[in-house]
Amino acid sequence: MRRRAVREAALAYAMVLPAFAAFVVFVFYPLAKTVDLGMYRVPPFPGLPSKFVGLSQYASVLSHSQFLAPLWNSTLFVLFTVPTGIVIGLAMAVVAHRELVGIRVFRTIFSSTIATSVAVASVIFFTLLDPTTGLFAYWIGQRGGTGILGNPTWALPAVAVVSIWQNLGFSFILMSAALASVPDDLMEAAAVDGASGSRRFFRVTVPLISPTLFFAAIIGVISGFQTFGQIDLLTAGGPNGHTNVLLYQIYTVFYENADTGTASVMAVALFVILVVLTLVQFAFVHRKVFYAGEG
Amino acid sequence: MESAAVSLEAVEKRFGSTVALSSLTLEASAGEFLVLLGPSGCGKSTALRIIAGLEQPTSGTVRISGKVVNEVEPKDRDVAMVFQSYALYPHLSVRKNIEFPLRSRRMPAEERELRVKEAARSLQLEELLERKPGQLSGGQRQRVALARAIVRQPKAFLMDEPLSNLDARLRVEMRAELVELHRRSRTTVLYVTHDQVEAMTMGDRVAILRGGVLQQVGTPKQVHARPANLFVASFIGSPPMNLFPGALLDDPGVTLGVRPEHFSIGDGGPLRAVVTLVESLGHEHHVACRIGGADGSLVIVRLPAAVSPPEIGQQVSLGVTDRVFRFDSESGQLLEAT
Repeated sequence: MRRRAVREAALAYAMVLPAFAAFVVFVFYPLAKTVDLGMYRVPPFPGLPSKFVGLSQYASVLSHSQFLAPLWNSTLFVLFTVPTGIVIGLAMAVVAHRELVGIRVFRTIFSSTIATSVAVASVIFFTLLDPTTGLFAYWIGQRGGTGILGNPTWALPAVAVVSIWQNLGFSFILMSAALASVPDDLMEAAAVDGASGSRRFFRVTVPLISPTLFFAAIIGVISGFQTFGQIDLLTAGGPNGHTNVLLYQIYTVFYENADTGTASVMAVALFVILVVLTLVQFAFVHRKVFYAGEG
Repeated sequence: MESAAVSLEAVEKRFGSTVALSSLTLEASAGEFLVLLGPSGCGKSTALRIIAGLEQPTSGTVRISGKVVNEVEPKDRDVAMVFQSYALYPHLSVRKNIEFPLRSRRMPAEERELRVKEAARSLQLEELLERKPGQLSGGQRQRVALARAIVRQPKAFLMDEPLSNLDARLRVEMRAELVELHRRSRTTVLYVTHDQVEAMTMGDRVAILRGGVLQQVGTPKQVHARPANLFVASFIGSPPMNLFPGALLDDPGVTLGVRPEHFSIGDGGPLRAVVTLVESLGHEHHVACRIGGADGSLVIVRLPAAVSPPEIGQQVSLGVTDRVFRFDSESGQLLEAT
């Protein structure tokens, strides 16, 4: 009996090994290497050797505005995109959930943005928002000038809108699947029980789809903090750093300043921030989430 | 509490080209326990859902307390429904589940508490109020679903196969409890089931449906003693009525029917038969016999436990002790019961 248990355990480990090896090569090693690189100060002139400075580089980079300003931009970006994306996706899913003639056409249209890439979405909006030839400038009757993407106040919200639009298809599909999982008889019971439409939605539907809302929030926060493509294509971090989000800053420091040390510190910080945020979400939001089958 | 008459007048329901109900006219008087009985797909649940307002009739009129409710929202019909699946809100505690309809109606907290307490007591749920439905057994969930229905003191209860997910013993218990509940409250109940035992033991009257068409309405005794047609005759009674299409009378236009308990064995009766199977249930025996040779008709005879049953393979003579039903073979309608 004991020998059999050992044999089974050995087999199980052997089967896990390939996946584990892949993780070591592509995840654990790069992570450890990044932490290590963050301890070396790169001199401002190329060709000179890097110097080991230990954790002091972490302290100096993480308290400097070249990290804090992009972190703030990223935070704003997440606050703009995540709640709005979930609410609009859910609203569209509610509308498309009814069995009406031709509803499939709308479902297809609503989910279509999932088929666009960041690049395509950016090009579409770049054209729309162009200060001289764009439709948007025509609508608001203000042609010329810097345009909305060159406006320090509105550039970040504008990029956020592009992100929301691009992620709407995904959000819609996710929310539609969640709504479809709510049993019809519960909604019918609530209707017979005298609950109004809004009460049925907020007291029955929302609690039952809360695992999906929670999932969408976590995925949204993670992808929000990792936004890069839209920034690179639409504003390149401008105007004057107002759309310079954390990942774009890491990219600039790494490739343009060739400062691997500073870039590594920021990358490690981003990783830690995302882990902590996810754990916090789990700890707080989780209590409010109801999972089917849970007692 | 106020109880209401519920009526359907010439109600028809189509789903595309499928006719679920065809011109159904049926009334449950105030305080009555009316059972809708039929095989699955006969339209009985559709009728209930139309009364609840969960389906719109294609044509016809639905009345509750004499008022036409065709255009009234489910929430405003003041009927309570118990679903086959119980449809409890899984994220709410038992207390909140029971309270849900009261909160929906913005009842003051004090009265709400009182009502919940009363409903919980009458269904023995006091100990379970803080649990979630996921932590309850099937029977307990059933009770919560009932409590949620009675707490509102509605004009009528609509019950859609509420006992079919329970095991046999619990079903018998809950049956008695439902009847008792009805006896105390005297609220109109429309009860859908495919189980004729439930129908016969619980209903003041039974309405039998088939393929969306009402076959017969009457007290359990009436539908058993005078089934309107062949379908009702074979659907009501266990084991079902023995039917002999044409052959025995040499008249193909008439089908004879004899209930299993109306046969006697071995009193020198006129029919020769061979016993093919004996099932002893303790309180009675079911004896299967074949009359008229190997390819003759199979007859089921019900004998009381006190009578010792014949052996398999034994030759017996069968006699008829009570009424014989004659049906028109073509239309299936009852011609006479003698």
